[in-house]
Amino acid sequence: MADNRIRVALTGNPNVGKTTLFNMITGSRQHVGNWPGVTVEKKSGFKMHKGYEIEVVDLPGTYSLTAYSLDEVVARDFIVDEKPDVVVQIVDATNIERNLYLTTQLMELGSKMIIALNMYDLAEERGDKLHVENMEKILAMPVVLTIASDNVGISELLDTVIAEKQKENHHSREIGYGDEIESRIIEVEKVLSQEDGLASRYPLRWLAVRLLDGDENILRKISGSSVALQIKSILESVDIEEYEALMADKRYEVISAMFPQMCERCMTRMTTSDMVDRVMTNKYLGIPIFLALMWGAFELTFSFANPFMVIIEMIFVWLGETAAFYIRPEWLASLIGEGIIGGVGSVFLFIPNIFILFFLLSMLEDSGYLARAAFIVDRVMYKIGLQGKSFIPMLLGFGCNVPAIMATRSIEDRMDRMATIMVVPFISCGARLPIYILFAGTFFSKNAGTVIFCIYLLGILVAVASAKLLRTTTLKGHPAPFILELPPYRVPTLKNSIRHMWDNGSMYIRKAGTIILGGSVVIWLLAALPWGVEYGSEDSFIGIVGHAIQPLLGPLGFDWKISVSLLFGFVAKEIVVASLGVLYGVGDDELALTDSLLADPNMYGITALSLMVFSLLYMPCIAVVGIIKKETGSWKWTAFSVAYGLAVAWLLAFIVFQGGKLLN
Amino acid sequence: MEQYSGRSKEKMFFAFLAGFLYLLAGSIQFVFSLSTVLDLFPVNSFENGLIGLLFAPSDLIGSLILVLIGSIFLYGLIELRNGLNEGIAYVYVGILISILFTVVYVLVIAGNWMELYLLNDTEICGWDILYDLRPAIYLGILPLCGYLIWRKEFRAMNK
Ligand SMILES: Nc1nc2c(ncn2[C@@H]2O[C@H](COP(=O)(O)OP(=O)(O)OP(=O)(O)O)[C@@H](O)[C@H]2O)c(=O)[nH]1
Ligand SMILES: [Mg+2]
Repeated sequence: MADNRIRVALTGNPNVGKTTLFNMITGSRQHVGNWPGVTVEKKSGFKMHKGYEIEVVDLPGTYSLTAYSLDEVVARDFIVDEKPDVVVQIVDATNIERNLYLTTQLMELGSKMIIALNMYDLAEERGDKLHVENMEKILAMPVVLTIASDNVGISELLDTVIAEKQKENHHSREIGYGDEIESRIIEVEKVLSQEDGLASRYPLRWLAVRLLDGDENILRKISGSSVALQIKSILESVDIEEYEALMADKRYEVISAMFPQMCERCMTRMTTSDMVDRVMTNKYLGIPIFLALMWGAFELTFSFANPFMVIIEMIFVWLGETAAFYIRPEWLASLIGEGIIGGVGSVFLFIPNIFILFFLLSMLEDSGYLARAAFIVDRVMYKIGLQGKSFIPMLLGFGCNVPAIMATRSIEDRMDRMATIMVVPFISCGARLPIYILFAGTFFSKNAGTVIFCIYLLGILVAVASAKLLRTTTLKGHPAPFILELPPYRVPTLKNSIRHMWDNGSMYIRKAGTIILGGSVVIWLLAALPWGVEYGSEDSFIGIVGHAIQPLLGPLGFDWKISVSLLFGFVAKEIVVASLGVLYGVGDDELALTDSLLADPNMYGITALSLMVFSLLYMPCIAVVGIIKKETGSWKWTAFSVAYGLAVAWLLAFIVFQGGKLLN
Repeated sequence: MEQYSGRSKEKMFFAFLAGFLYLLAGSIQFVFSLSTVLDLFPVNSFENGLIGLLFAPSDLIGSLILVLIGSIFLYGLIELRNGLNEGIAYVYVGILISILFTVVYVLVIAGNWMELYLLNDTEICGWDILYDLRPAIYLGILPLCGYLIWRKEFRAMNK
């Protein structure tokens, strides 16, 4: 039944809507974002269409087949080595000319190709006239109009995929590179054809073109073959750099000859979007605007969520009281009331904040603003010797550090990439937010939003400073200049923002129902055992552990309860709040966690601040440690990341606490 | 872009007015907030004279945002005066950001109000809608008018 299966690769420049299209076809929910470099791994999904089982593979965006960064290599290797039945290139209809460069390279591969002309809603709105038939004729491949975000043209695209697969013979256009280069291509092809293995795997002309184009990856691919030496000597006899430039010129020449026939009025002009960029990236106003918008987001995250938190708090306090009242035996009541309701409840409490923050962040991202933020920060970072591309993974880190560290694959330079992986854990993820909200809300009421904003800012500053430190010591080197293509401004859609909010929010809820639930039970057990001790007292297991580590954290102002909560926070940072909920016995004395904290004689504003700083920086959670190991492939760097985080956290929290005490 | 040039006189006046008002309100609030933070005045209450009139309680960051919005408008004014049509973009962005912050502060009020309604203790806190009124809210009326007048041009922006 192999005939019923079709393997389709989705490829194209960054930020053209590949993942959006993939999600629409397969019904999955991969991350979509309005900036280049969102997808860094290939993802596949299936779809039944008219009796065919279509496997769709979403690839990272790439500007050309000459791959530079890890994610581009993934995209290129898939198309070249795995030979999908049909390659669909998604082309941004508002930016055809630029996208065609990749098309000219893909054509040479000789595989069956389809163009999905995406975002044609935006092109039409702009008044462009697209000539689809001309485009099909010139490129010798089918062209389908799509609006991925509105599910338009998807089924036509799949029809075309099937039709293309069934087509018997297939020929594709080639680009002529002029006499001199062409004769070289033939020469190389001849040599390559002596090796049987190569001809069956790659089109020879394509190999020859890539080799003359100076593609090192391809050179490596053939290095094991018997003709490698011969090829090397041919390549040494020509000026590869000059060839590379000549061939690129030729491609652009072809493109500029084709382009006017495909689209009328598609000229580049100074749009209002460009004008707005002059303001947003203004030398003086850019950074203040960025800070102001972020502050607004945190202010709302704090203030507007309050009433919803009050409701949730009332529910859980009531649940706790009910449990304490009705459930017998007493230990079971304590397990459910103090352990589960106290622990999980104190994490659930922050769901409104999480939802609101992610809603706002996704509005900023979707509108295209966050990409500008990366651009502004890049300017500053470049000046101090860092690569601005690091900032995009950092922005993703606000959600969760794990995908952020994976996103560093788009950074070409290895040193830059390592430095970025090391500093991403300083970016405050969603799991840390509950800690700030709890303590800032309790001890800094009216200024809580501002305090939280400052904590986030501190995270960014520590990350940037650490990267600088690393780049000037162990990971020495110059940053590669960073060219960020600014995506267009769009009015953020409610649908997209709600989906983004839901994805992040539901992850938080799922975690509360699993890891946090388990963690709460474990902490309750440790607090209730050995049998017969007073619950949560200093003689319980947890009290013993807490007292053992408390001396280390005492100089930061933390008592044993906080120390032990921080220890368990290594599993997941939400557990810090959950275990405080368990230890302060929410169900027992009928007080909410905030009241219990205020009543604790050891807690002051300055302790709260020190705690927030420490939780922000101290150590990535276990999932992040795992991904750091995987991405760096080195235990040494992983250990360094943990140790460095702890050291920085301890030092800064110490300064905050002792400094605050001195001032008072 | 040609479509804009005829209107740039209006926009210049608008940028001047909005810029001036935001900058003024922001500076007053900033000076007041700073002196409260540094403990120059004994009482931190919004009934104090001018500050009470402006509904500008001590709020350092809030005042800086007003200054920022004012500067965006004035920057636009300067560019427009120098014959740079792009200055209009500053007016647009100024309008958008100031409306954005009006919305933020209104939502904060809504949040506070809901919270107190839920906790049912309006008397205890003596909360009053005036307590949360901020310059960003009433000043926002001006950019809102600007937005309504130039609505069509804003739609064109998304193309
Ligand atoms: N108006 C409009 N927007 C679209 C369309 N398709 C995608 N988008 C938006 O374009 C942006 C980029 O979409 P993605 O699917 O993340 O792009 P991608 O090609 O996967 O990007 P990378 O993974 O970074 O290479 C998102 O903000 C989408 O909502 C479309 O047809 N019309
Ligand atoms: Mg993608």
